[in-house]
Order: sequence, then structure tokens, then C-alpha cells
Amino acid sequence: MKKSEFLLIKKKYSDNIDDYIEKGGFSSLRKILSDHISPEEIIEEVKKSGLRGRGGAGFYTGLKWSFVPRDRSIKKFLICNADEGEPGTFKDRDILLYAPYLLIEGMIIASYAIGAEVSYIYLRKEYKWLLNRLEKAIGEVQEKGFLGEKILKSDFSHRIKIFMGAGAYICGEETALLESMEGKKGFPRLKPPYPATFGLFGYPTVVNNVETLANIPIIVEMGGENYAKIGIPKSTGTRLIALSGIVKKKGVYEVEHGKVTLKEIINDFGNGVKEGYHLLGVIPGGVSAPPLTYDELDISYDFESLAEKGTMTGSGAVIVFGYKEDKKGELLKILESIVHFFKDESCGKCTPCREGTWAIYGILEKIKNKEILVRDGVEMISSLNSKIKGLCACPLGESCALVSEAFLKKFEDILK
Amino acid sequence: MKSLSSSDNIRSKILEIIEYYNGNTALSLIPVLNMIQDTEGYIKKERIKEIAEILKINENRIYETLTFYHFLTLDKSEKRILYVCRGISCLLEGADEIIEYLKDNRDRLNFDFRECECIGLCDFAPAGLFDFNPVKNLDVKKIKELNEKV
Ligand code: SF4
Ligand code: FES
Repeated sequence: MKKSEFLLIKKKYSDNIDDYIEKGGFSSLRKILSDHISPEEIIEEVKKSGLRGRGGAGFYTGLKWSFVPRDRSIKKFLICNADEGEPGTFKDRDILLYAPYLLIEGMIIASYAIGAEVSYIYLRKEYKWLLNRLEKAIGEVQEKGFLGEKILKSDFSHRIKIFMGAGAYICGEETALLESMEGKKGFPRLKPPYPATFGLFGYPTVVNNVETLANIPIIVEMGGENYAKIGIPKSTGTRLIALSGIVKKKGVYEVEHGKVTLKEIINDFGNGVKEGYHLLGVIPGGVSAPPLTYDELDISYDFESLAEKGTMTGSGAVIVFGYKEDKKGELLKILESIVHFFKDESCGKCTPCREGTWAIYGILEKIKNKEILVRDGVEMISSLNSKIKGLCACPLGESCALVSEAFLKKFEDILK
Repeated sequence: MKSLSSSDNIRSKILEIIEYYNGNTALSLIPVLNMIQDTEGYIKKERIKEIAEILKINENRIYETLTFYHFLTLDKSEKRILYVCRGISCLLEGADEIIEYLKDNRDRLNFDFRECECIGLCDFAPAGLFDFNPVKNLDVKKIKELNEKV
């Protein structure tokens, strides 16, 4: 059955401010300010909604906000993480393009909830072509009186500024992003302390993904409890997925959590696999998510189901892969490309990751040159991972090991 | 009106950036580096001195920061740059063949090309960025067209 792709977020797509307002845009913000809904109440609604971060880690958004100290005298920041760099991911791009006002409204509400007077959009340099669009949107929202001094005559003032990165995948990690904004190289920080208490320049800061923030006006509009009825428990709401790879119809689709399987995503949204290709499997959440094989695709797309299978929804990037005609060897190329990515993007702060990602790349070379068996490679990588796991400032090195190990194990027959 | 020399122009742009970020010079560093990179094609030594002096940030710190990021460079590229994605979704659509072609024809190109990781255009794979503008569904024909236009 063909599932609707216009559920919550896509329904609010509008790249014209008057049209957005006509669709009910900014009514959530208006309601909050005119009915004097307190920040605490909004945090409570977001908690009730069960909303989890759409950037990768899936942390509960309301909970994250609640860690910010309430003391009004302390300066706070909200940062919108628009640095989606996980290979295969492009769904935030569509929000920036087609729903900038929804995002901006979400940012204003989130800032009101945590008490931030200034917020930033950390835009990846690869999206520089979206910069003017966003600046214009911010200007228009300000002209309409939803941004700036004393918004809608309330005592809440807010400004949004854009900060563009300079090319580094690791800056999508929230503490590396903060370092980068402070004018430094993007080294992830050791945690704790978490940004909610010690963030940008030491001030309490919330870093939220684009899609996460775009959900906020919707949650305020429907109420947290009603929002939580969409999807399934622990995976509420909808999800934007970026579908790419060997399917016929690539693109950004919206699915209800827990209601659509990966197979349906490929067939109903992607119109199936392209002619002449053999489907091998799917990377369900960007290259940091271990792959699923062809036989495992009857699985519902939600946080829990994928976690049970040892993988994740991650960044929402669904990459369908396989090989053309009889070129089975392509599979190793795919894995090589993934490990190449990790080895290049390891920021170099932690020795196990910096060295480990190179070592894994070397192991793949050996497999390619038939110097070792696939099985030996699996063992070598898993022993490497025991020296990476838990010893690094962020999950990058560990993901590299887990993903390459899973690939080799699951596709051993094809690779040997 | 007196026209600004390029150096005065950069200086005034730096001051504008600092003002945009409310006088926060640390926050202004990467935006300033981006601006110079985009205006001059690279970040030369004299500029680093100038930034250090205006932002009051140690020169070594500026080097440390700028060498970390892919899109900030110390070397001048004589030509405009096409970044070609070698990420997984582009690879699945033949990015490796495009990259091969570009490598083989490097001498004949009127632009420079560099490989990069995913640029968020995977639904238009194989994809690239030319002067940071999207180039979708790259193929040899498109590359030839681009080469003629440049
Ligand atoms: S695990 Fe790797 S990417 Fe993460 S902080 Fe350490 S070196 Fe950097
Ligand atoms: S993998 Fe090439 S644009 Fe994403």
C-alpha cells in the first residue's frame, strides 16, 4: 500500500511567508505569547510528545531542554544544527529549502522555552547556496514582527543569526560544533559537562537538529499528548527519510514511525530497485548505521526496531545498495568508500580512532588484494574495536569499526 | 565617492562581520576566514597577520583553526573549483567514473577539481559543487559544458 508522504512536517512546507501564515504558521508562537504560556509548560508539552532528536543520537528533546538552568540572569543559547554531513543525508536541506519559516518558528519557540535571547543556525558550508534564502526568510519573519524586540508586544525578544561552517563532518557533533563556533578546530569535548550547562563560551546551550526544531510548532499546535499518539511509543511522530542509492525514485519522504517497513520505503516510495541492479541491503540511518541485508528489510522504521537489529535510524538516510549486473566486487568499493570517509573525517583528537580508522582501511586493502580472508578481517577489526570502544571523545571511531565488521560478516559470501 | 582598495574592502568586511556577531571576535573568526577564502580564493599570510591584529587572536591559533577545515586553504587556486562528491550514494551512481574522467583530463580543464565527501545532494547523484553551487546528475556531457562555459 502506498503510504502518504505528507503527514506533519511536509504538510507545513511553504517557502512563502504569507502562504505559511495562511496555513496556520506562527499561530503556535502567537498562542504562547498571547496566552502567557510559561516556558516550563512548553518544556512539559515537548516532554509529553516524546519527541526524540532527529540528528542521529535520538535523545529526548524535552529532557535536553529541562537540563538548562532556569535562572533568568544567566545568558543562554539555542543552536540549530544544520550541519547534516552523514553521507546519504539530505533531509534537513529540504526543510531549509521548503519550510524555512517552520524551522524559524520552531527556533523561536525553543528559545523562549529555554530562555535564549540569541540563537544561531550552524549551516554547513556545503549548503552555502542556501544562505541567502535563509537570511531572507529571517528578515521577513522579523518584518512581520515575529522576531526582534518585544515580539508581538510581549516582553520576549529574540534574534537569529547564521554561522557558516568551513567543511568538517565532525562539527555535526554538538560539542565539536561549539568549539568551531568559538573559532577553534572542531574537536569534540569530553563529556560531562554537557552543553545544557556548559555550552557556547561556557553558557548553557541547547543544540538541536533542524528537523527536531521543525517539529516544535506542530507539537505546540496539537499538544504533546496528541503528538505522542502518532507513531508508536518511544518513537513518536513522523520521520523525514532521505532515500538514495539504487532505487528508481530518490528523494525526501515523510513516514510515520513504526508504520512503514524498509521494504515499503524501497517499493512504495522509491518505486523499487533500478533495472539491472541486484539489491543487497540497506544502510538505514547514514553510514554510521550498520547495514541490514536483503532478508532483514521487513522491519519497521523506528528507533526501537532498528536498535533491536543492532543498527539505528540515525540521520534518517536510507541508502539502498547492491551491485550492477554481475559486478559483485562493487560491494567492497562501497565499504571502502565508507571507511575512507571515517578515516578522512576522524578529527585526530583520540589516538585509537585516528590510528584505528586507518588500520581498518588497511585491512580492507588486504582483503581486496586477497592477502587475508574476509573472516580474518572481521577478527582483526573486532579486536581493534575493543581498543577503540569507550576510549574516545565521540562515537566516530567505534562506528567505523562496527559498520565495517557488520558489512564483512553479513556479506562474507559475496565478498569472498 | 572614493573607491575602496581591495585591502580596505576586506578590512571593512571583517569589521562588518564582527559587528554582525555583536563584537564577539572568537565567534567571528571562522566567518572571517570564510569570507576571505571566498573573496580571494585562499588565505594568504598577510591576511592572517591582519586578522590576528583586528580580532586580537594569536596567529598560531588562526593557523591551527584554518588548517583543520576542508574549505579553508593556504594555497591559491588559479582556477575556479568543482568539488565532486565521492560519497556512497554518488559512488552507487558512478561517481568513480566521473572522477576517473576528470583525473584523466585534468590538463584540459579550465577549472580545478577536488574530491569531497557527501554534499547533501545524494538524490541528484553523482553530484558536485561548482563555486559552492549545486551541479546535479554529473556526467561527461555536463562536465564538457561546464568546461566551455568557464
Ligand atoms: S573518536 Fe575520532 S572523531 Fe571522535 S573525537 Fe576522537 S578522534 Fe575525533
Ligand atoms: S553521497 Fe554524494 S551527495 Fe551525498
